[in-house]
Amino acid sequence: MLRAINILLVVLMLVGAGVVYDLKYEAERATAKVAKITRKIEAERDAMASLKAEWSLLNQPRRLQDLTERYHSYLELDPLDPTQIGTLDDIPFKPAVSGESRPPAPKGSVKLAQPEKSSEKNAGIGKLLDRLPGGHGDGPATTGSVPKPSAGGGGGGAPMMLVPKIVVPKPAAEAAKSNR
Amino acid sequence: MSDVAEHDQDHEHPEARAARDLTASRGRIVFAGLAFAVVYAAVGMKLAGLGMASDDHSAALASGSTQVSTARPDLLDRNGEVLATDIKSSSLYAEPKRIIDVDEAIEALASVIPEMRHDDSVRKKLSSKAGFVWLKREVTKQQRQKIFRLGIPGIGFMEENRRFYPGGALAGHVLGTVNIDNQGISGIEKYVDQESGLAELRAAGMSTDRGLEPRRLSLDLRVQHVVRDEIKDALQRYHAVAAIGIVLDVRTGEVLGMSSLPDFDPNHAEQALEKQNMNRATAGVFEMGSVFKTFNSAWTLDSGKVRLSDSYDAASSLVFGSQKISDFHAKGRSLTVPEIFIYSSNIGSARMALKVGSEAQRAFFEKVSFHKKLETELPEVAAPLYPKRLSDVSTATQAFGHGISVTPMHTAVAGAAVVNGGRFLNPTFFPRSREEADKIAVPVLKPETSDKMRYLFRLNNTPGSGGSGSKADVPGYLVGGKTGTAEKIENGHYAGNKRFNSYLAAFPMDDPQYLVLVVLDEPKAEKEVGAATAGLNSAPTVGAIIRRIAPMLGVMPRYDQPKPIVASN
Repeated sequence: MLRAINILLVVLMLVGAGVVYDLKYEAERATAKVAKITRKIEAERDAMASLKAEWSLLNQPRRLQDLTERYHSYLELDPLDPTQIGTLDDIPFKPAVSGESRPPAPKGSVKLAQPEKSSEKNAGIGKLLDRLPGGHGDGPATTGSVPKPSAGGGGGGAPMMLVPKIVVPKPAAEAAKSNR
Repeated sequence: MSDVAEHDQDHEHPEARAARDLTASRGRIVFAGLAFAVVYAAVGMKLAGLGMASDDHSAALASGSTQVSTARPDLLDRNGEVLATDIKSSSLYAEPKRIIDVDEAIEALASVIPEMRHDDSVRKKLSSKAGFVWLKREVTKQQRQKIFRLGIPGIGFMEENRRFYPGGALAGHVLGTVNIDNQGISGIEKYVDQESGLAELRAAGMSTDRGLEPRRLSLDLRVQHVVRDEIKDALQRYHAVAAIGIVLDVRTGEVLGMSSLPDFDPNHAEQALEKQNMNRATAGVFEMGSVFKTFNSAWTLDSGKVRLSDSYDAASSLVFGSQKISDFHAKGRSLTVPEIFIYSSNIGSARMALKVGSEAQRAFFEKVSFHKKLETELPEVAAPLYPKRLSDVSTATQAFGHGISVTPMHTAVAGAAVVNGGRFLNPTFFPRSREEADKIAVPVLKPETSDKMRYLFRLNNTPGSGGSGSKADVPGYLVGGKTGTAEKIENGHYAGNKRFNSYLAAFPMDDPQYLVLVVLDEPKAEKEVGAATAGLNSAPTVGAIIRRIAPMLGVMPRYDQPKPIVASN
């Protein structure tokens, strides 16, 4: 009887020792893993910080302004004019009349506000869209809703702001018709 | 014999034999115990020795890490754009004691950094007995990777923080600079250190690395850029010596943009020491000239002794002993108060001030901080210069901004108080809500006076009114403002050809939200124009700034506002 208990205890001790041994090594492995992950997090944080710094460096208004000025002939981004700012109320409702009798929709960029002196400015964005591949011709699906400017863009030469000119889209059917 | 022996043995008492055995074994036990004690003592001493030995390396590292520049909180603009941040860079160090072969180490290092091959200082450092030496601060990532792969014993890397300003010179005067140990030495950087107690922590030998909350400033990166861009343009176009631009939120006193040219790039802190690069906006005092007629009109109207409909003789010059006050744009007749304002009549302004009195002028100037330093976060603030003694002459000259020198920022905040309903707010470089502003605002003028001043401002700016600020007008934004063309003092005399031009404007005038002040130091006339007055250089610069910043700041243009009518007799 006593002998059986002793054997049992010895076995239990051996098992216990084995479990503790395993636990210890598992803990060590976990610690190493934690350290590794911590290092990784640290590295990611540093990478984030330097990427953020790079992002803000690339996004400096000074740099963007220089770029728009340099590529003005292609981008045709002009400084925002106060007359180009409007609210939803400034946009005229779609005319109720249908078909041929409908009056022609305004072309080019629409000046929402009309101060005493109105100088015509044409949108550059329509021209830009036309230059995109597949954006030519009759296809009303892609660029059809953007009216083509009647003449070359005539913006002022003031400093830039990266705000596109407001273009009031024509209804698709109408645009398709006028493009044909 | 054997019997005897046997007898002897037999006769030995069993207890006595046990006692003899015990004594013998006790001796052996004590011996064994001592032997074990000696062995353990040896092991313990070796352990202690090892502990001491490994301390050498960590002490070397510790001495190195105290030299590493610490982390600083990021500085962001009001929209969260980065103005200043820390970037990590690796620095190469060596522990000469742990280097086995100096020649081999140098050879290996030179394969990555070639200039180390013939650098005697590197050899000297590596052969020394020092615990820790820097070999190269801020090595590139590629170099770091290569040296790491070489696995030279005694050579290692330490991560350092370096302050980086993505905007370069964009907001140099506001942000300030840090030294090589990343401690703020000027501008907001210095303020942040003092405020958060970082400086004390560092002095106590503690340095934090993480968990520094970024600080948000009231500055708007885009506005700051526009201000700097436009005044830089003006500086070049009018060949001015210096240019200053300030944009304030008149309702809260927040500084949205502040630039003083020539300026410096805080990434190269040494540029900040050059004298011409000083911050003129808050640390330079100037006789502001005619913009002071704004304040003169404000406090005289506020006293009730001067009304808008009053008129004053501006035909004859005002004489005080040897001094004579005359007008630049002389009209040669008596002028109403609005006319004095828009034609910028010195004589009229002086007469208005003298009618109300020196005491009231001094009281108002004290209320709007013209007699003390501005209370703001920026450490670089200058104290104004003003006449200590009250006299009619000084009252008359101060009415049109001579004989008193204040900083452009003083002028801007006082201007904000004039248009925002008469509430004086110290400027701040950190966000301040309207509620907070309402709590700390000090009333300096009656709201009705502010209404009248807004009318005068708008009148001066309306094209066709003959006002000096018509070139600053931007259709739709109801700009109103006051020009100032002061002559600079040279060798104790006013020099007629050296001017200090300013334009103080606010918009939209029916409910002022933002104030713009542009100052040009010694502008020259453009060839085709022929004059160098503020209306021809500072005013158009203000107009250009407003045209660009108003849409950014969400001010809607309106065209339905009636034009102010000139109240002329």
